[in-house]
Amino acid sequence: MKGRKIYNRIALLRKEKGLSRVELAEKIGVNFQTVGYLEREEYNPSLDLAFRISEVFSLPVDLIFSTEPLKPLSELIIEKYKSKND
Amino acid sequence: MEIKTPKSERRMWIIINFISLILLVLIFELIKSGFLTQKHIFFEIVPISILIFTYIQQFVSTELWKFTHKSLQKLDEREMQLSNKALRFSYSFFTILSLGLIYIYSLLGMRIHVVFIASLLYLAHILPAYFISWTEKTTTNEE
Repeated sequence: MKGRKIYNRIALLRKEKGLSRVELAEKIGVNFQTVGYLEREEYNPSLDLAFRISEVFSLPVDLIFSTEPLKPLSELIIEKYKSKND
Repeated sequence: MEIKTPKSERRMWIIINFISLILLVLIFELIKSGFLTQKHIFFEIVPISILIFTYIQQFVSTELWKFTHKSLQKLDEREMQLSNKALRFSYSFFTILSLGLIYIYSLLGMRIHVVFIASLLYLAHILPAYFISWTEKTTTNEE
């Protein structure tokens, strides 16, 4: 059975944290090439790996992964700003 | 395991490796069946050299061969999936190829020699690495 595509913000969050692929890979216990596959959304992580990633970034899983294409963070901030002002 | 060479180059090496293996068996069979004389056994040096060179160049130096023989505990979940896929493909491919070759040999009434068996064993051993090298993307440690 072919699973659904899982979108993620790993590349963005990793860069924000100033981590290299190798450093992130060491933290989550995978090969650095797997980080590349995750970032390119060519590999869907297991639930365990998704939780390990969310622990590294100290963010909830649903903020990093989604089954829908993820909106850019800037767009989310604008939306939040608009809803606050309304 | 790091695959730094482009996919097209890797595929070319796999084809050369495979052809040299076929040539190795073919020359031996031609000598055994009398189409070539015993003197021609020295021609075997060419496919053997190419086979060894491409094997080292493509599978030993890239650690691909090592990867396909690693214990599962040393692989991460994606690598495990990849290894599983490679082994599954190799099993099917090897079974079909062996059955086909054995059928052809028996149809032609040819004897199965040790070179043929050794080549099949080499193929069984290297097929998972062929699969990974053929399909995997070139990886870099950038960003």
